[in-house]
Amino acid sequence: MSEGEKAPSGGLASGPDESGAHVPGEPGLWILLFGEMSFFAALFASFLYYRGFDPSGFAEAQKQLSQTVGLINTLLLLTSSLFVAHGVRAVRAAQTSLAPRLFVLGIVCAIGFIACKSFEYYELFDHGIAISDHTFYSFYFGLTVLHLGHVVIGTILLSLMASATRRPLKKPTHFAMVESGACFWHMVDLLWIVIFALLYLVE
Amino acid sequence: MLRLLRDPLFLAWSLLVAVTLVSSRIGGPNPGIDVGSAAAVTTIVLSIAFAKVAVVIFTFMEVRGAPVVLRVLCSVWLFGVLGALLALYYGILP
Repeated sequence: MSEGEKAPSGGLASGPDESGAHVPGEPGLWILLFGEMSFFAALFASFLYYRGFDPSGFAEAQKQLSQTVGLINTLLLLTSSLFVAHGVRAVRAAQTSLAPRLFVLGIVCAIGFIACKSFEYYELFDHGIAISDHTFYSFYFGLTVLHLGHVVIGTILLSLMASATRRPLKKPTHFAMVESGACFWHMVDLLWIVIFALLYLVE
Repeated sequence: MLRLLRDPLFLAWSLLVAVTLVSSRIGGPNPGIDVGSAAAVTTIVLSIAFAKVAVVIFTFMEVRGAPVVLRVLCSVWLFGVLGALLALYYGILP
C-alpha cells in the first residue's frame, strides 16, 4: 500500500456498524479503561472526603505545590494528546512517514511531563516534605505516583505504536492496537486534568 | 493556516489550552478568600476540568462516533463523578 492510500475499512480497527458508529480500539479495552477511571474516581472522592475534615490544613499543604509546574504538565499532556490523535488519523490515511513522527512528538511531551514531575518531587523533598507529614501529601504522592506509572506505560505503548506504524498496517487488529494505545494515552491525559484541578486548584 | 483552523482536533486542543489557562488563573491557593468565594471557585474549577475531560473523551478518543451505549456510559461517568465530587466538597454526602 503506497503512502497516502486509504487503509482497508477506512482504517478503522472494527468496521462501523449499520448506524455508522465505531468503537475506538478493542471493545474489551473499554472495560480496562472504565475500571481505571472508576478506581481513580474513588481516589478523587476519598481526597475530598478527607479534605472535609481539615480544609485549612489541606489548603496550607497545597501552597507547597508549584502551580506553574502543574500547569506546564497539563499543557504537555494536552499537546501530546493532539499529536497522538493526529497520529491515529495519519495511520488511517496510511501516511507511514508522518504517523511515527507524530507518535514520537507525543513521546517527547511525555518525557517532558516525567521530567517536570521529577523536578517537582525533588523540590518538595528538598523542602523537607515527607509523605507522612500530612494527609494532603499522602494523597498527592499516592495519586501522582500512580498516574506517573500510567504515563510510563503509555510512553512505552506510544514507542511501540511509533515503531509499528513505520510500515503500512493491513490487518484490522493492527489498527485496533494503534487505536487502543491512543485511547489509553488519552485516558492518562484526562486523569491528569482532574488531578491538576483537585490537587492544585481547588480552594 | 485556514485548514488548521478548520481542523476539529486543533480547535479542541486550542479550547482545552484556553480553559486550562483560565482555570489556572482563578484557582489555586488564595489567602484570605472567604468560604463562599472559595466554594464558587472550586465549583467553577471542577466544572471546567470535567468539561475538558468531556472534550478529550468525545473528540480525542472519538467516542462521539461510538455506539450509543459507549456514549451513554462515558456521560454517566462524567456527570456521576463530577456530581459526587461536588457533593463531597459541599458536605452533602457523608
